[in-house]
Amino acid sequence: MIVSKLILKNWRNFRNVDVALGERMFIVGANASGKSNFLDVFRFLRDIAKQQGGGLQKAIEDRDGLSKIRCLAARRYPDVEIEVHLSDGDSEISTYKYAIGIRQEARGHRQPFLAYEKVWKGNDLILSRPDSDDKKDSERLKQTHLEQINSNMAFRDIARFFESVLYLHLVPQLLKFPNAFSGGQSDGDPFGKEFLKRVANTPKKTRESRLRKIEDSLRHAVPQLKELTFIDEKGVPHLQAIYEHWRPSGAKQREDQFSDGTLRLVGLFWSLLESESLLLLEEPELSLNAGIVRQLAGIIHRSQRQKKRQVFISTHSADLLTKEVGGEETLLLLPGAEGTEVKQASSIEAVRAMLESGFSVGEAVIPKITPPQMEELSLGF
Amino acid sequence: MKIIYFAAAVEDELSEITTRQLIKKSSPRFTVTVCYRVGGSGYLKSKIDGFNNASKAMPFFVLTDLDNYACATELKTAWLKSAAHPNFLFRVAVREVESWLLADAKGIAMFMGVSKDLIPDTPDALPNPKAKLIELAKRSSKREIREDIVPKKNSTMKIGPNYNARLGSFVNHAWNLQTAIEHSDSLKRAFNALKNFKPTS
Repeated sequence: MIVSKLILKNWRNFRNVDVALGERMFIVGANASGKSNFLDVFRFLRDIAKQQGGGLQKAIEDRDGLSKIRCLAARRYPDVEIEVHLSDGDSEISTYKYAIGIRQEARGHRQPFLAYEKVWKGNDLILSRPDSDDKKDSERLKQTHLEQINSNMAFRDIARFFESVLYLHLVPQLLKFPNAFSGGQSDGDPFGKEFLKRVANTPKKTRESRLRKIEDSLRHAVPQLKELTFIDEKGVPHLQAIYEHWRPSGAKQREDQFSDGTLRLVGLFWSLLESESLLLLEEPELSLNAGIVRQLAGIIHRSQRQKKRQVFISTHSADLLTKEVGGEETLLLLPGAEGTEVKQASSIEAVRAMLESGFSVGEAVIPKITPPQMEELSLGF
Repeated sequence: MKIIYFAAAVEDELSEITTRQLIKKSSPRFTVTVCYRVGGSGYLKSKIDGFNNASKAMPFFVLTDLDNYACATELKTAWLKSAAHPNFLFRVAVREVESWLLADAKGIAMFMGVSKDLIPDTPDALPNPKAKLIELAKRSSKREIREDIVPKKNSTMKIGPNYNARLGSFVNHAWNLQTAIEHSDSLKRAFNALKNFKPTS
């Protein structure tokens, strides 16, 4: 299943969004244009659907309340609305549609509650709230049916899908030295602190096959690295590889000796192989050589052949957006006074003309999102 | 008043800043929405036909340095494979964009903290305007000009560590275009091309 369409109203810095989404989408925009906020919609849905410690109230509370979520450009129409269409692979027809509107109590504790919650299966509306029960007891509107096993039976697929959305913004330092950073674990381990535990908890056979595939893909990027294996040392999980040098047998290295780039790639490849739900990658190009960055779009494409995993990638890198990336796969975030607009790169005539003239998406699009007069930034110091 | 949106393509940072100012000052109707500046003149040359082709969707202004070509026409015929689209403004700074800055002698002398007498009268005739600017900066009475614009001793850098931003702030805040077009023919031609530009669709 993939998310084939996203419609937003008043979500963070987006006042109005209506975009079609494919199997692989690249999200590009200047700093503070809302790339992370765009990805956060899907984390928000995951947080609602999550069986452990999830739910609407928790998801909103974790984001410091509805007033922090609501778009600053929202005026007359105050509700925050999210609608996603889910479909199977290439099919244009959606198998499910899920839509919620959220507003805040006018007085008292000013708790958020549902203005509506709707689910369509095919074209049939199978859930429409507020229903008669909600009208009798308005407290019910503080929870979605999505988060309740008792109520989501008819659309459990959606709940499962949202629940397994994975967000990744790997920080190699956290992975290498998890104990050096205090603070609890973030939900879903976005920064890779618990990455090794995830590897450890994977059944041996699956684990070995994945590591073999990763080693295979890594061979081009880090040719000195051989025999990537998982070892368990007195209950502590480690990754190990042989690093070739002038001694015939090479040297064994643990993850804390891997380079930042290598670790990032290992984490990235692992996540691509891990599950079939939506994967959100935040700036995967960080700490990678431009030559490797140019391979990433292709690697993601190849991994999707094996597992139909939908991937959204936020990026600043022109190198990532090669000629093997389509304008229809690229979403441009364009900030303005009325919030950020989201546009498919191929829908902008000037970009289209550039693409038709033989430029890559990166060449055509990255200059578009670079704010003018950045040069004078350096005079401020 | 109908706004005309330009795309620009240039080879370096200073050219970008200068191009944006030039277009802005040519007409209040002109706005640069995007500037392509990826990898120096080699990149610009390799993509010039692409930019020419793309100008059917949006007016393009391309600026490059003349460098070692004998004249602008020679450069243009060497670079462009097909005829220029009417919306494609291809301009050449003789020999480098720095001469356009030097063309406002009074302004640049004041900005750099050097005597106006040191600025050449016809900067388009200079074989290496960048070297001239750096030479002037060495004699500057202002420390930040010397430190930003002059390359460090024994460095492989050809320009100072904050060359573009420092000179860019001159272009953005002090450059007198009206004076400059009187002293640089290539700038005057670029300016007139913009002044007389009417987009075709």
